[in-house]
Amino acid sequence: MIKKNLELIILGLILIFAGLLYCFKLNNVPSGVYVDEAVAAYDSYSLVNTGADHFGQKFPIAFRFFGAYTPGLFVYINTLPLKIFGLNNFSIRFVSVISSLVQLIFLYLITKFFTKDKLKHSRLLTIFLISFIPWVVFNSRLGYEVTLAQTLITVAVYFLLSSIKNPKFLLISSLFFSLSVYTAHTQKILAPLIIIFSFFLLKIWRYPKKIVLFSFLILLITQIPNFYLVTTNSFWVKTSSINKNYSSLLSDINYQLFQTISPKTWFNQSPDIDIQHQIPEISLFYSWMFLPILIGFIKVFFQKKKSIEIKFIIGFLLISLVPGILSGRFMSTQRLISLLIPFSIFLFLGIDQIIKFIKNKLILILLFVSLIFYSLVMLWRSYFILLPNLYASNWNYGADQATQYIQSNPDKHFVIDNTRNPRQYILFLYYLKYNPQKFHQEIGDYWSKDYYQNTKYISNISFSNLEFKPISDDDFKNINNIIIGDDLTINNSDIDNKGLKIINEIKFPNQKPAYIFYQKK
Amino acid sequence: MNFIDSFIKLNEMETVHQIERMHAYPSRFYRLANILEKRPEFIFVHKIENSFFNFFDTSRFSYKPNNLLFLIFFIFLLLIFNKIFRDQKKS
Repeated sequence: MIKKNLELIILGLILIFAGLLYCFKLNNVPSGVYVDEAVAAYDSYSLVNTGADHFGQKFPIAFRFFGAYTPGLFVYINTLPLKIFGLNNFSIRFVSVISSLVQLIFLYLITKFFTKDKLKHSRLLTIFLISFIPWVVFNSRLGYEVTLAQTLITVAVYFLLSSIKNPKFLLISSLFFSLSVYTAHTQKILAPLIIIFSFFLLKIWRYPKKIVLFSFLILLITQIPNFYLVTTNSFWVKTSSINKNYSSLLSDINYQLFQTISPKTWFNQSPDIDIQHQIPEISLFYSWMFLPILIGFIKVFFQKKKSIEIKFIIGFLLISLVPGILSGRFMSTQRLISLLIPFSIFLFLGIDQIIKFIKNKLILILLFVSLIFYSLVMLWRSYFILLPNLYASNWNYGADQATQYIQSNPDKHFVIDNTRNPRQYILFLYYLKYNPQKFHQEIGDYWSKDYYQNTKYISNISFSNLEFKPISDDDFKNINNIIIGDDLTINNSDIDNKGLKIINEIKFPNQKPAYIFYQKK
Repeated sequence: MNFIDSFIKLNEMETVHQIERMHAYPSRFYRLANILEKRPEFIFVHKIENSFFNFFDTSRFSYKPNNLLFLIFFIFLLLIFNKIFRDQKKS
């Protein structure tokens, strides 16, 4: 019985390990909340309580996050853990945890298409390795849409490849491709390109006509809300960052392409412009994975007779580069996340070759045990020790303590300097669990007017006893004001000159000031 | 600094980062921090890794737009060779 189900048992154990890893210290690591996480979480909170997002728009199709828009599926799904666990860091990252686990299962199933061997060692080992790749761990503990979108694409790809043998799976595949488009902007480019490519590669017109027709209908019907948005800014706004100037566009593509194909990007040092997309001292994969992935890559590209699945993965690889390459001047690894599928296949084929090459079982076990041990130590060092300390400011460390101080002083008026972080009002809404209905009344209808068109973002926002704006000299004169800023808000020498005193200070783990509270003497 | 030393000794900037990292560890992991951040073996591994990937870093070429054409041409050649190789095997 055990022997018969050994594969399932081991896969289950891998998932338990991955689940524990993704949930470990989920509330505290990363050490705060990024604004994109906070806005998605507060919108879900607002939806649960009022049926509208935090700007007061009833059940939006795309959510307005500051000056840009994000497709809404993640925010809607996020309402479930929020109902169960309440509004906290754990609940907002829980959807990504589950998404990552589902993704692992489907990546495991996808590897089946690339081997005829009955031996499952290399597939199980690959999935185990993928479960703690820094890129996967990082994204599985992130409270916004990228991981869910990637999982939906992975599920869609699995059913698409399954449809080669059983065309009925095309129906499920088209549903998941369609859902992915409602999750993230990257998928708006990726999903149609994959569908068009697969149509010709898999010769879908030869599938039973009923299935092709119904799949097309699923795509068409589920995309009706997007057809409604297609003429508005909300559908396109993130891509508007693409440079329209031809020579600049070419230069950007050139830069992105060379960055993307560089092994340094993947195995040594992530060049992502956003620090909150990075883990210190480690890149997206472990450095030693360069070898198995390279072996797998060579095996795929230089295979004499390429199966349809191999051809698909080559095409998928090239298509996955498109959203990343078109993302402007700076590299965003999150727009390249779909590359995880071909990279997983390369890793699997490489591991498979290594296992076949090293005949001595003892050497093989010793090799992989030491590599796994080394990788886990490096992950612990980079993710659980260095990230919460070195990148604390990028994850808005201290905002929760600042809100606690605000809550304990309800009769004071707080002016918060938002010069360096214009979007930080959302952190205070999130940590205060501020009543969304009250917030709607206080901000008026400016934000909900022309909701899908208006990309103008006003960062100066007031609610309750809080005012978010760049600090001016007049703010210091009012004795009832408490100014919240950082060490750049006021020069040390000016504190006395302006007659101010420091009444509270919240520090980063490295003891540098995160928030300083000033008041007139 | 001789060649060997360059792989196990840190320059001024690297030492600053090393101290920052050391401070990040909770006090109960002091010994482990010393091993992971200060041991010459670990410094050597990291430096070797960095040198290896710097050598293969294609992003160095990204600042010359003409290289994009070379890259496309290279991929084109690769595809042709692959096809020739495949056809030869078939025959």
